[in-house]
Amino acid sequence: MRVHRKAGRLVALTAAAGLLVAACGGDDAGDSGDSGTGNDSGDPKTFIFGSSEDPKTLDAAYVSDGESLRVIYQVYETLVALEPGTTEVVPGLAEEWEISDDGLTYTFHLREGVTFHDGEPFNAEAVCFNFDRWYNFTGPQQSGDVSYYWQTVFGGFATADLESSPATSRYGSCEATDEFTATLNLTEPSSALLAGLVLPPFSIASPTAIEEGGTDIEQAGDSLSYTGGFGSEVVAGTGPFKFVSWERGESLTLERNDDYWGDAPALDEIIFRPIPDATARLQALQAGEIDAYEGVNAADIGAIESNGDQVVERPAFNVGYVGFNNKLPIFQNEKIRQAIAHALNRQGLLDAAYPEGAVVANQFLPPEQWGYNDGIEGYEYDPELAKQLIADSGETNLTLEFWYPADVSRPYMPDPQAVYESFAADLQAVGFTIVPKTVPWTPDYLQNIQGDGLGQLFLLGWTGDYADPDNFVGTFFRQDRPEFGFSDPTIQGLLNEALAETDQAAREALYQEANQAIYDYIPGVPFVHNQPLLAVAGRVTGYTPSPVSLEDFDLIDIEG
Amino acid sequence: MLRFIVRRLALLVPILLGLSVLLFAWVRALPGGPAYALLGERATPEAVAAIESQLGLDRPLWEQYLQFLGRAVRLDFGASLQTGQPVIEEMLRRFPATIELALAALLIAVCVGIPLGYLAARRYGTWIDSLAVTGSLLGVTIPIFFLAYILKYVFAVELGWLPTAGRSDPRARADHPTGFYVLDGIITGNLDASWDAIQHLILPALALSSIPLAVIVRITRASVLNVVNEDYVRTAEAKGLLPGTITWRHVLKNAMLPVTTVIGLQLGVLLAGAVLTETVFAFAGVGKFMADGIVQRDFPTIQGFILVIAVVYVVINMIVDLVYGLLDPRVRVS
Repeated sequence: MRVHRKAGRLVALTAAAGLLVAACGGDDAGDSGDSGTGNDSGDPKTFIFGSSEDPKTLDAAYVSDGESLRVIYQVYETLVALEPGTTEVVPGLAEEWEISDDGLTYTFHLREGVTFHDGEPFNAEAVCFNFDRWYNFTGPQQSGDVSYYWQTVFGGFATADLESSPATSRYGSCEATDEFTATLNLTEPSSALLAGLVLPPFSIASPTAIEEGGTDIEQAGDSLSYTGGFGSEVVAGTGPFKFVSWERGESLTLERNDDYWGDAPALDEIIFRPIPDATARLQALQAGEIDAYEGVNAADIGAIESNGDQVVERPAFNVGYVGFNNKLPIFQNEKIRQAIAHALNRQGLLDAAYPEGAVVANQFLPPEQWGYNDGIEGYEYDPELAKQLIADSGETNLTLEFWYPADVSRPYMPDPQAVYESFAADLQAVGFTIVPKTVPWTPDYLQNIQGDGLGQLFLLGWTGDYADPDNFVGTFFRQDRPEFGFSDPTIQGLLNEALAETDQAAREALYQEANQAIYDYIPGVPFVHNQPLLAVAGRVTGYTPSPVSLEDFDLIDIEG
Repeated sequence: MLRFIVRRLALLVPILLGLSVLLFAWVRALPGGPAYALLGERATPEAVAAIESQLGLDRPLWEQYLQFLGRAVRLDFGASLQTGQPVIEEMLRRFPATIELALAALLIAVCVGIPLGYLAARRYGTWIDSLAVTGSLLGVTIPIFFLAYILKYVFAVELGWLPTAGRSDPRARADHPTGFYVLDGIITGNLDASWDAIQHLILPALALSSIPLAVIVRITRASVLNVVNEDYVRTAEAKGLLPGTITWRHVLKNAMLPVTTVIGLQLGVLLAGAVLTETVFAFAGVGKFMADGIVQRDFPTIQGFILVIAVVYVVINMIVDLVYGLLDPRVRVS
């Protein structure tokens, strides 16, 4: 034993000494290469986006989070697309389309000469393969967090495997009428369908790649595991950029698709680097390591601009509102609703508690969305009028519970408590007695307000899923909802009529009318459309912000 | 020796069992439970009920715990809610980054800390000593993330010498067969890639090394001060031994015993510190993955991370005890 211990001691000492020598003498190792933090002219044009996290998967059908959608939007395409920077639906992989008079049949005439990144041809069969795949999702694929957008736009599946699976589906069938004509048959009309089909989850992927990669989802413990290789190892769409590599947590690289059917992008490659911390993203931009990032803090605007970089405002696609629970007797008094609308100093709140670019909302629909009624001027801030309305109302008990969520920041409400404090002061100034009521956002707040209808006055809002007015006002008012607690036949009638209408001009007029009706009724007071901010390096041109956060990186160029 | 190892490993069992009960209880105590964590904002009451029956969350608690334990023993912590990939795969993929970073930080701490501590002791009471003591106090107290932002601001943003984020320049598209980027460059013969990886390591390693460095300086200083006043050092000096011989054979070697223990213990501190450092430097290791997991309520990842780190911590401590025994014949591990 003695010998052993001595030998062991020697080994330990030698190892320690070796380590020290290697460490202390090691800093002259390697040759002096380029540090790689600059981009000399002549180098490939690389656009590096500092994302907040990795995508979940590049299997478009399974995602609904912003970081996944951002990458997928560059690699894949959908039948119909969006005019960059707007919510207008334009041709995508389908050059044109017809909708039958009953709104049940959509005939898509496809672009010819398009190939997938894996070399397979794009045709009607490929389109129907994708639709049939989505419709035939089974088991965990029907989970609300996996196929969220399919369920939002089409409803259910061929079978209803989970308790939460929608019972019926708008999807009937897809037929490849000829090589470049795909016919989509619905079971009930939905005029919001085209606006839904522009979303990346309806991307047409190469059937060969889907089958080769595999798309399984398995239950793993308390969560779901994406075990298929499609979307992580095998990725093939038709978009302007194609997948190169993905080192999780470090970088995801795309390169230009030289066989792209449309205009060739100016960029040679795009790299997405996940940097979760907003301050770290700012520093990376300042050091020239990334070219853009989302989620700029208002406090950083000065630092970004003084560095010669740009702050880009994305058009607001959200609305924050003070809701009323209209089933309570006090809110059934129209004068009280009007009094509150005139008592709230919304501009004052925005000046004090919102970043630059936030605008006062007058409707439950953002101005960028068609269907917005330009004729509505908004409730004027007028405390005297509010007091008069209260006096006229005859109400004597003016005590109200004002609900706001704790510990949460929403795109339309970065600081709920600040909003509450400002509005509570406004309401108290005109004679209301406000009782604060706050609970955590998840799970209690939404459940209490939207599920159980416990709120009286409450703060809430919505960020659009896709560019159709039904996604805003339809969500709020087309059906009875416990949060608003009222049922107005005029408003519901207009919204249902608008959803069934297939003529675009007529739909737009109906939504404008509905917005006027909502404005006149005052089921709540919308107060803000907040604009998310992006930072883009000074040398980048062509970054076109999109209201629905779908930005085409093929429009981007880099100077110098 | 073997019996010692077996006994220490056996000690892991109750520790891990207790930890598993805590971790299991914690997820069940989350507001709304796992179903809400899974569904996030789209958690309608119906969807929550469906998920709960799908995942077996409506079964008795003890039954759920046994299932959880059964899976954990097989290192199956479920899939990460962030990536939809098995947690254990995600951790294995990211461990090389954390080990690389922790080793780099430890090397800085040891290479700077021991000489500085020694110097401070031999120049006891001088300005060098005061500087070392004050500096180490600062090193222990300054928050890592604050130090990290300062380092980045000075050396990356203002001076432009070093990068602010990541493990490598993604434009280089280097191959990474092992996941240890510095080593990968050497293996693949791409020394530029190694150098790039080293540049990306310097600032995070500096930030992460601040606490261990400070601790090592103080322990070395105290330990050397103790030893230089020992009789055998005086004897050695009286015998007229060369100063170098006294320093290496009599002072440093004996003073290193407590330092070794501390270095081992600091490995645990490094793993904890890696959570912050990796997040601030967007360094794709397990620490950052864990921090992202906390933000996104990725409970399978958090459970897996804590269990694995507990095992690593216990094993490191065991190794330290073994090394201690090797360095000091008076310590008998049995």
